[in-house]
Amino acid sequence: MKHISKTRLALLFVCSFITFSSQADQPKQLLWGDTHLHTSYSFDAFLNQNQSADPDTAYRWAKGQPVIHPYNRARVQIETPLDFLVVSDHAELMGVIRAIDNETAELGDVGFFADIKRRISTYFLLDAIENETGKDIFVGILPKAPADPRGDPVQDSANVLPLDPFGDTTKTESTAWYEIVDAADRHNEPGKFTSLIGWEWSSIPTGANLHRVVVSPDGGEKAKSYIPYGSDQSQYPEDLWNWLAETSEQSGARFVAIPHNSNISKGYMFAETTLRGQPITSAYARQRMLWEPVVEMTQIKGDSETHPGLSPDDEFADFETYEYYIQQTAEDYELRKGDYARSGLMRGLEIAQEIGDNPYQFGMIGSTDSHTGLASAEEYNFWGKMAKDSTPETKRLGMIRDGKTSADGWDRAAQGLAAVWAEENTRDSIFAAFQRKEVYATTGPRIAVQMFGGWEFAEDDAQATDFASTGYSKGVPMGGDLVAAPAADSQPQFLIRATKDPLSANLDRIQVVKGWVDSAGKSHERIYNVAWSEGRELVADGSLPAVGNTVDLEIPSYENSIGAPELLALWADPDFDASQRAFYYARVMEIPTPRHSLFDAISLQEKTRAEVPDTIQERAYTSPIWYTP
Amino acid sequence: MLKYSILSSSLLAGGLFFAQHSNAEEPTRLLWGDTHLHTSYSFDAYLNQNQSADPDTAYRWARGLPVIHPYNRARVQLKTPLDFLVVSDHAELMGVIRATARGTEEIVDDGFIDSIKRKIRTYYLLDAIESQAGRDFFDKLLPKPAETPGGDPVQDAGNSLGARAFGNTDKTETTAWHEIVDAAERHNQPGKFTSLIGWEWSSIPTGANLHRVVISPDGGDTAKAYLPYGSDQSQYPEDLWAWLEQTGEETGARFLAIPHNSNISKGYMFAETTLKGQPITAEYARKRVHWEPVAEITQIKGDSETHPELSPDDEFADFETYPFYIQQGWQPYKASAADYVRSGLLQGLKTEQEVGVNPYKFGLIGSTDAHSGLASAEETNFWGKMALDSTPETKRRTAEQDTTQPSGFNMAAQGLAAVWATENTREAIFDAFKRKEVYATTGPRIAIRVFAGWDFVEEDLAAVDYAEIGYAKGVPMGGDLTQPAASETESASEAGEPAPQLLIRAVKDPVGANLDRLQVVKGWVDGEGQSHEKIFNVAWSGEREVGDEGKLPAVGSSIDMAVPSFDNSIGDAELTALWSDPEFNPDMRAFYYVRVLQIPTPRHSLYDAVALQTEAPGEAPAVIQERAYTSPVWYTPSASQ
Repeated sequence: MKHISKTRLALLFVCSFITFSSQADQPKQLLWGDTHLHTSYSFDAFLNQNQSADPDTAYRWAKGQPVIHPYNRARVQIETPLDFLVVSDHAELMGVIRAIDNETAELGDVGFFADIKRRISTYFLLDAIENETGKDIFVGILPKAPADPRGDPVQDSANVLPLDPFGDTTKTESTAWYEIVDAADRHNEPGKFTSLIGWEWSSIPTGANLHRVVVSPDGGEKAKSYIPYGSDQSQYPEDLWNWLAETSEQSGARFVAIPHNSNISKGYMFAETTLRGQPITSAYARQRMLWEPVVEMTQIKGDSETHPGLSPDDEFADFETYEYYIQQTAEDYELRKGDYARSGLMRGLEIAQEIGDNPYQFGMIGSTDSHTGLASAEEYNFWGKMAKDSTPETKRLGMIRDGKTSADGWDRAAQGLAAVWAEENTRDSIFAAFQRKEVYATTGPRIAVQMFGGWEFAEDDAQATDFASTGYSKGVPMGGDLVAAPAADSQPQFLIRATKDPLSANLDRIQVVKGWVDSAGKSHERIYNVAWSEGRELVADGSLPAVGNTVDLEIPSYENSIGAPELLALWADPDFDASQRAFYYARVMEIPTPRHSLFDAISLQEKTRAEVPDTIQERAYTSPIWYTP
Repeated sequence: MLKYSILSSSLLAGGLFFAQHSNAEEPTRLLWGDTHLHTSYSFDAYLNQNQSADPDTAYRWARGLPVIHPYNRARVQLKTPLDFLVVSDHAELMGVIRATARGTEEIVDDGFIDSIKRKIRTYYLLDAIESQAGRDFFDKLLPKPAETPGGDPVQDAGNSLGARAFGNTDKTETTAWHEIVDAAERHNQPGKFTSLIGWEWSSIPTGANLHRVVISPDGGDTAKAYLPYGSDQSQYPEDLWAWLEQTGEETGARFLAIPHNSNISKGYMFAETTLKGQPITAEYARKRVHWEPVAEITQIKGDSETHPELSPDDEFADFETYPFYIQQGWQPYKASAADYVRSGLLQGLKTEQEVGVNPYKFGLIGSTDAHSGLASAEETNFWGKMALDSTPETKRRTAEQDTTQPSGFNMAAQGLAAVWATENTREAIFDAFKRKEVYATTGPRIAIRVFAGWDFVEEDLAAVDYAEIGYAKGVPMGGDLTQPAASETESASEAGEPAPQLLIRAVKDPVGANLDRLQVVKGWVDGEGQSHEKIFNVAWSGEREVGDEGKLPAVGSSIDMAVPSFDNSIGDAELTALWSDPEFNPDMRAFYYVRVLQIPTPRHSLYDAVALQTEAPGEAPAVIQERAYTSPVWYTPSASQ
């Protein structure tokens, strides 16, 4: 009976939670989505056995409809539908592999020799798809490690833009783009479900991941007036931003670009300099912040909040750490400050102190980056990064590179989601929330978090029924700015409310992560435990004992006999120095739950590998609030 | 904070229901299980792409562990674990196809000619398995229809016992049986999860389905003292019972046999005569109810409560009707009174009136009969009859619907066996079966308690100690009522003629749909020996009123066909009734059982259709009203006692 009552409890919570977030006195509603999903129109998805889950499948899954899994062909369904989705197929070879396999490719005249080359490429491609060895072709077109790991990777001698063996594929790509755009417009239902049109610019010079997902709130007509900008046009983000500016002027389309997988950017994502190695100027910083207000900091290929090597005092730092570069040749993972969101935010403060503008003042979201067409971020309902990762037996067929096994399906994480505080469920409203950074990340669970920063909150504001109205009227929401303390001895306050996922685990604690820069220009970080479930007391050093663990490793299952369904905090920074730039974001931890790999291991009646944890503490990261003197 | 207090009160209400059922004070508790599940050890399961889900997989699934699906290889898991399970592989060729395919068969010297025959068979078998054509091989093992329908099908010229194509397979079967028994022993955890050892006796002369699942509450040592009795030994149920009796005497094992799929028995399951065509005697009847106290009324191959032609006034009769005989070649389906449970119960009353003993006085359960090793009866998490039925694209064998062949869309995602037992142990569950304190659902975990008596009062319905009162003042489902002495029925006497009362409480599946209505199904025999049935609506949701002829307007539908989904904006979470029979005649034998209907919900085939982006399959309706059937309570006039 244990299991039934848990589910029933959860169901009841759903009802109350929905009431809570659609309450009339709540100025914003909480929307859940995935801004980063690939379908069979992405070359790598198609080569890895997603040959049927197209944009239409992706939307139907997101809306809660059952769909056919592209690899195992079972009927699969998301447990709780999403509110919005961005289908973000790679701009490069968009729809081309699919079209060649479907024999619908529109290929231009390339002359005699190129035509023979193209035919040979096509032959090998189709053969590989037939034999389920598309993955080998995929690996074959990945970048190679750099000759100079510190220089401009685009100019590195090892950097080669993948040759285009299929000649001019523009026609096929525009057909694909139109189909993607049409699917988005078909599924957009203002007020009920939002599709945002987008794509991925997949710059990865010498394996340094600089990928950006580009998202536009505008409709199909505008989208059809351009063809997505790809890394085959330029691998420099500045060129992407220039193209966005120009295209925006020409077509009226609005855009944001969302960087992801900074963790495997080889130090380039949040670097001290531009990609070309030049100092960051105010103009660069302003241009970057104009186009990139938000970063995707948790997804299937790992969590990019921070790394234990960067945050040795953070006991929760080693979470879904993913140390596998996307490239042909093996290369040991080297940790760099430019790789993680927290160190990036800190570096942003340092640069702002120097030049007056912060190039890394970004909000944070999670998304999946799934290539299966299925935005799945639930541990027990995770259908893999690639379609072939959808069955436990094929999930662990890792890639072999230079004789070393690279990441397999167990190294990947069943995460994340983008949470958005928006006025309504429409393209414009969601886009506006991204621009003002009133968004946050979770690693899968639908943990509801609101945070406001201000100077004059009262103790009972945290308990108030009109929590949100109070927050907005007396302070700024996540993503906002605090300036000029009202008095010399004022401390910034943070009003935080977190509610558990109605279908998932209780909460362990709320933490505030503070980053600041001292007068010498050096940045620092510190974590404060600000609210936690009953029965524990802070230790002198500010740390909090672990919440415990209810996971039954044999089933696997857990119960909500520990933790709290809701946590509230009104916290003021006790170490505040009004002369120092700082940011504050909240991290909300769930109690431990079984990881997807444990479900697999039990179904296979095997043990998980030592390096893959059996249980994890899922979490939410809010966008920061910045204080500027 | 208003919202939060509403939340906590509903949480408390939710908790209350469970407290009610797991209350240590209650005399019995509700356990959920499947008594009819096949694994890769069944020849037909193996030939239909279940080559990996063995008894161990079956138990792991039932206990709520994730397992690998034997066909699509995805990781699958039961949402709410079961409390007990019977792995009931076919006795015939038990484990033999599996062993042959794996090269682990143990051959008994069978002489030159037979060994060549066996080798040829084996060659074709392996080839068929290799090329995923096992199903065609399986089809050839099916019976042929009768040449003289209506006679003793066992003696029919068209009847052939499935030849022992693989020679003497006793050794291989013994090994398989011991493995099945060992798996049961490994997974039995008294108080937490119960495995009951069992098998299926698969008698199907000329396509007349007479299958029985045999269950024993005894342990592995006792079970290993015998080999399961198969229909290759005899196709007559009398011979099965004789074997059970003899084996029980020899080994100390206790048994009961559960008939299933009476709906496709071609008029033989609950017939007026024995299978041999002889009149039913008191001795036959006693033997039958001794060994067969319970029938499986609902399962994947359809619902056997009743048929619209047998119960034309029952608007809910046409539910998961399954008109396909298990045989080679097609033959139109013909519903016979002996094919359905309600008409069988009625026949029982008639026979009892004649010979003094009721051969068809059985309780009711549901089970799956899944051959995938996965006991799944949920529309949203149904993994098919055969392993091959687990993906929407392979559920149909032909491109278009073939009305002469069942497809995966004809199959129903049902049912479950609900048991009111004193504890979760082999003994307690077996005892509940013996006293018929069990009931059937078509999948949802609808909780129902029924007590029958003469002097319940309205307050008993809402009493905290509902169950204690029920047991103290009446009999539970499966029990007997006889007319009380006049002195014992003071309250009833004051009101006039005493009439039997039913005290009923039903609660929705905590993760399922609300309830539409409670009905009492009454069957009785008049002075002329004529049987009758009538359905009474006794409790329902909303502001509906019973109209002419006792009909209640439909509950409506909250289904969104496009998703598909439903919500509990209609129906009630709980329904209760204290009902007394307004048409009671103390001189007439009668039975009463309760049928609880859910509000409409999407059928598994609709989920498939949405996934496939096609019209809902023509094989079955897109929406269904799931239901529960309690075991009956019987009334017998005192004079005849």
